[in-house]
Amino acid sequence: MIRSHILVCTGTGCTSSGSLAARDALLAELKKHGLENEIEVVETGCMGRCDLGPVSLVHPDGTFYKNVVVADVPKLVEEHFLKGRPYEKLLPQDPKTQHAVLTQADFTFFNRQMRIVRDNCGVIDPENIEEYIARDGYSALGKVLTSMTPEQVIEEIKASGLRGRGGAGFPTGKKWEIMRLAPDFPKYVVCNADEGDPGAFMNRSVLEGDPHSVIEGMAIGAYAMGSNRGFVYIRAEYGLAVKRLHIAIEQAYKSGLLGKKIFETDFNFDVEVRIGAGAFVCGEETALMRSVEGRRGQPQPRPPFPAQRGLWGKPTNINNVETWATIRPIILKGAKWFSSIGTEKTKGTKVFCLAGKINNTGVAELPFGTTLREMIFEVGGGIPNGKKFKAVQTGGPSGGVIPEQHLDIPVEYESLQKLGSIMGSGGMVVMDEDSCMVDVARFFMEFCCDESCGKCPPCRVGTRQMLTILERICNGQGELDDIQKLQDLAAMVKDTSLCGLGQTAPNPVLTTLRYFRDEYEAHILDRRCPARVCRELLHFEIDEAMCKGCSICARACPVQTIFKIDGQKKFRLEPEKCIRCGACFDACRFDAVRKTSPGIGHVHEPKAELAAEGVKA
Amino acid sequence: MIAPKEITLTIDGKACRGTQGQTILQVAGANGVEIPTLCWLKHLSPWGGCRVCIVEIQGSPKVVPSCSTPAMDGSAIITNSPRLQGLRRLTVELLFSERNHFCPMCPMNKGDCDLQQQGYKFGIDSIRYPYLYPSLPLDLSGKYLGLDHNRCILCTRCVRTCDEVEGVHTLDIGNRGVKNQIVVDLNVTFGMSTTCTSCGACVTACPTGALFDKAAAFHGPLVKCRQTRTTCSECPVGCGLVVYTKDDRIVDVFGDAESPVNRGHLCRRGRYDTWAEPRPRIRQPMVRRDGKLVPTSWGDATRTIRTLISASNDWQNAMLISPRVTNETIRALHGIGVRFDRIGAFVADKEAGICTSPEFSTDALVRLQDADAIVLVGAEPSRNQGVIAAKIRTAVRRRGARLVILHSRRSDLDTYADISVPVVSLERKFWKQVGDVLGSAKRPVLIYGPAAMSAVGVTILDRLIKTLSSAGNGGEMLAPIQLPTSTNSLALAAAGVEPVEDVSTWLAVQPLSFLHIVASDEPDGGARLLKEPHVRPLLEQIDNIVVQASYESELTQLARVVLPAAIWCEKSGTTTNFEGRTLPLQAALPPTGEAREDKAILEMVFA
Amino acid sequence: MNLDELKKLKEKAQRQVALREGNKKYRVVFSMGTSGIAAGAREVMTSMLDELDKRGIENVEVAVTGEIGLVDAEPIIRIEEKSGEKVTYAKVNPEAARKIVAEHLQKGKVVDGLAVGKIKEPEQKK
Repeated sequence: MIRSHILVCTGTGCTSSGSLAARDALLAELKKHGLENEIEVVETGCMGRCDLGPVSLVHPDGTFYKNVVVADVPKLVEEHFLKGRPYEKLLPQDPKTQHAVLTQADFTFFNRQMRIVRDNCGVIDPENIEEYIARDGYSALGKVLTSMTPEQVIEEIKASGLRGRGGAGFPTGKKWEIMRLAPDFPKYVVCNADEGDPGAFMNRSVLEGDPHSVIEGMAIGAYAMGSNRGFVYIRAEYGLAVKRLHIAIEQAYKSGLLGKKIFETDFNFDVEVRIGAGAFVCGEETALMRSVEGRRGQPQPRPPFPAQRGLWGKPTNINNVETWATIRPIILKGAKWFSSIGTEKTKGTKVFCLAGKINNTGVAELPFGTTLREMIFEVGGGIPNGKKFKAVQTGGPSGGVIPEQHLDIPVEYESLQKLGSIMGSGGMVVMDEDSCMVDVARFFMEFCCDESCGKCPPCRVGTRQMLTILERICNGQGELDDIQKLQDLAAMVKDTSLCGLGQTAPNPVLTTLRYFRDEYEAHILDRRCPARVCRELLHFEIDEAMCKGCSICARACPVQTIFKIDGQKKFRLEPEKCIRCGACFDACRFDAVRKTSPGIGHVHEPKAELAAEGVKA
Repeated sequence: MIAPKEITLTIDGKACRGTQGQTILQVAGANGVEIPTLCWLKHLSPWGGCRVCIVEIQGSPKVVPSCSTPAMDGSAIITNSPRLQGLRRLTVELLFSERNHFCPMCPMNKGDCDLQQQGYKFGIDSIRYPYLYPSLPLDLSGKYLGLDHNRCILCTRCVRTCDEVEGVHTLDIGNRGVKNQIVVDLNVTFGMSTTCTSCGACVTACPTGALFDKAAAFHGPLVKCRQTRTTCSECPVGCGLVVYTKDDRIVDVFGDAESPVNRGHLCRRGRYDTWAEPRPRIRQPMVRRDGKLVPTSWGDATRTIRTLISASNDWQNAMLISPRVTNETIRALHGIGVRFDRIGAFVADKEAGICTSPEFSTDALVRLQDADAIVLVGAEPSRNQGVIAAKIRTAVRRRGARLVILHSRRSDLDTYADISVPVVSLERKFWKQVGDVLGSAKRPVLIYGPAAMSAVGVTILDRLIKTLSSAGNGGEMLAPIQLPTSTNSLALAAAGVEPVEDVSTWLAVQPLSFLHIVASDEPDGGARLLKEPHVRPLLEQIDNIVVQASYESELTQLARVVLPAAIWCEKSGTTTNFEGRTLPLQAALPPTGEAREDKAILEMVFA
Repeated sequence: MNLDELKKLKEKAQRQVALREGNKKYRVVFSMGTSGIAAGAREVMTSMLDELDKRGIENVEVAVTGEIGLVDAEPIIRIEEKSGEKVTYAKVNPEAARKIVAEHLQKGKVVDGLAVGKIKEPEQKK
């Protein structure tokens, strides 16, 4: 008999840190000790802490292990499964208390979460439909098909207050109703799994960890809207998610939960997976539809809206992975339960991706209305290395940055919008005092510029021009009217662009200008980067008092501009040839290399035109 | 059908009427409010990409493209606020900063391009943003088309034209963002393209100098050219042309957007073949002296012919005439017919079968435009009547029309066909397929060409007509469309001129002593006569041959007298297309050298 | 598939994943320190798991722990009931383990001859 399950995360994050090899080692080690019939190794989806990967969870005791690499497996098996005591080396530490934590329940990262969408993630084997069924899988679909009319389903979703999780927050029930009333046939439902924000992987984690919940949600939606055919549009980069989706769909067909006459009713539903080539813009629904049709993924002006004329000119309903996965719990537990969670305007939970300069990075599901401060300092465990928090970028590359003074706002669609940012897909990139906000704006603008489809000039050329200006500011070649030019362009690109990509692309620029204008001015007027990030504005020197003469900096220097001072065990950096690569700074173990951004008057001669304008150095 | 609902709205405070489903731009245009546009073209689907036609709808903070946004009843539209002006100006300014739009070195020859117009309109006198100017390739590998990516603003007017008008979808956009580029097929050059038909519609649509006619490049602005509207004489469709001329030479030829026949679209033959490549012309009359053709005067040539003809018996005189002549020339034949034992028209291959029972198919193009099923028997529109081929392609690709082709030679249209089989190999299975494909057709169209005129072909035609008549048309008999190959062959046949099926037999009926060949402006100078079996020896036996042609050829080598004829752009009068429309011909240029129009020559020589 | 079939499948499947839910009636803890293993705790555990399987008893969670402290009484197993009752068995051999399964875990009867201690304590708060 099996007495214990060890759940090994085989999501993309943990797979890349070696969970598959660890799994094999576990199996071999268990066999070695004759435990193969007592301990079962179960592969699951993402548990949310990819930075600690490969992670695993042991049941029934609930011990949570981090960094389960092959080398540690023998000891882990011996300690935990033979001797019955937790293997302390692999227990994570709480960043606040510095104590080892044993189970997920003891971990602030986990115990603050409220899991509705990710309820099954990291708990069940996503490649086994029976485990999903064991946790009430497909009983929501069964309930809907056998005891509810499509109208009742829509009413239930409306009453729940669920809003689309793709970014815009349109009420899902209303969207379904419009679709149901569309007079044309056939109708299509689509799952938008084209998650493209850098550093965001909440949708992937759901599809890898619990693909059936998305399929079941789609089937319920299709029934409510009068559709018989669904598509999951997913990017090719999500190899594992694609594989698990295919497995899930196949298993659902085999069990009669997809296909003809589902639950012996007249409802038929087919689902197909469509692979995208990973273009950011294909997350925009009109571009997505063109891509599903096999055409170039470019947005179309709306109207016509997808519910009027979508895929192949027929009414189409597109919802995000998270939205689809939320349908099942609403049907099972009721609209009333769901609407009791969250805020007045926004109900339920949202999966956020915590990334950047933060202790606990990963995916976390939290109720709407949680404040940014709670997310960053409690769930996220605060900023590492005792650095100071500077700003958080919400909503992905086209979101805005939010500074310290607004951290206490409850997170929901409207509140973020008011601050010049967006909810987007729920990305949270935390920046500390070492982040240069001009550089941050440049980075995100570069992403948007790269991902612009090029259909409309405001986005195609406008983002490129903004990037050009940001680049020259970062390079210390900013001009006095660059801030004005940026503002003009940003406003125009926001107003005039065809789709959401262009309309939101200026957000990082606009919000950094709004909250960190002084940093722009320091770059342009003083030729100084206060966070000491922009390479062209840096100055490196060696503090002779600290230098131990180990020569590591001289050896690291790619242009050989660090010299030994004659007769002394010290080194000196000749700034003329220095390319400011920072190799010496990184190499020095004694903090003897100083990185400063002194501004004009120190390193560079003041530019003639600035001097003429009377700008102080 | 229910009439669309009428709507009223205000545009810039002006009360405007429109119908439900119209876009804001359409309503504004119909009510005399001008909204600037760039990527929009009337006959193409709206793209909504250039953001120049943006307007505000009162009560909404967003700006919307008027070309694609439906006008809503009772809404108030603002087209000209300072905010809109600023946004449009910046949009166009960004376009100017993106690639090379310096006019002096542009091959563009429409004079002032649409982009330039926008620049003037918004008062753009300098660009505040850095010029991006990527160095992009110039594709000159096409026979007639040039593509300079450096001047492209990515409005996709060419892409949509290629897709929606010519129906071949050779062009599309490749790459992403600022790296966007127009691509030909799967990113090859024009010269390598297997789908491009060189119809030149993309050049017509291009708002800058990115796509240009190689033959016209750097020949100066078209606005400074003389424009002449005339009719193409390459095939029986009769497309309207606008010929741009300067200093007695052609600078460019475009389709006439106002022509009811082609609405501005042309095929390669009409657009380029007639002028973009030089052909050796016959510039003056010539008579054979001591075995050699020597230039002479019209007077001498006329006298020589008269002497020859009066020396022979009428029953030994004959005339072969090309169908490319004008209606006026055909009428002139009545006066001179008495001089000849017989007059024959040397039509195209197998075309005689059609010309023996000439039928004009009224409204053929309108029916084709609207057809939901097209059956093509023995006609080769993609070789001979490109504009018809374009209409067939777009009917299939854009409106989902069914297509059945019974061909004698394969063509690109086979790709779009539901059924495509050779005329001769028809089995029972075929008729079942035809029934399946055409069974539900409401507006079927049957087009047949010369190759259908065989014993088998005619039987098939009969049966097809019966099949289609029972399917749609409400029991009415389907009127098939007869599509000849040669320009004015139906009019010539209708005038009683015998179409010659087999030239050698026709010649051999009795020995001739005088043969007048009116080759007119046949591109090969009439030399195709010699390609027919047994014709050359028969011609060599005739003592006196007069060749009246525009271009030099082998035929002139057999002639006793050669007369220079005017070409298409030097002719005036009328021609009749396959629908029976009488279409005007207007001389765009004076005849080259001593050349004269066919009618004038015939009247002068035989009067 | 109809609703009943789904329900049956669910019940069957729940048994597979029940371990992860942590809601078993009994929890059997094996003392698996060095002395326990030396005294044959592994064999005892194997036979108990085998017996549980044979009898199809689902409501039992089997866990291991370190040295309990009574070296000479090994192998020791402790059976914790959800109600808070704890029974400790000492010197358990494989046959005894099978008996414990049959009597205690299946019928709820403590095997008197083997039990060395019985504590009733209030359910602990998690």
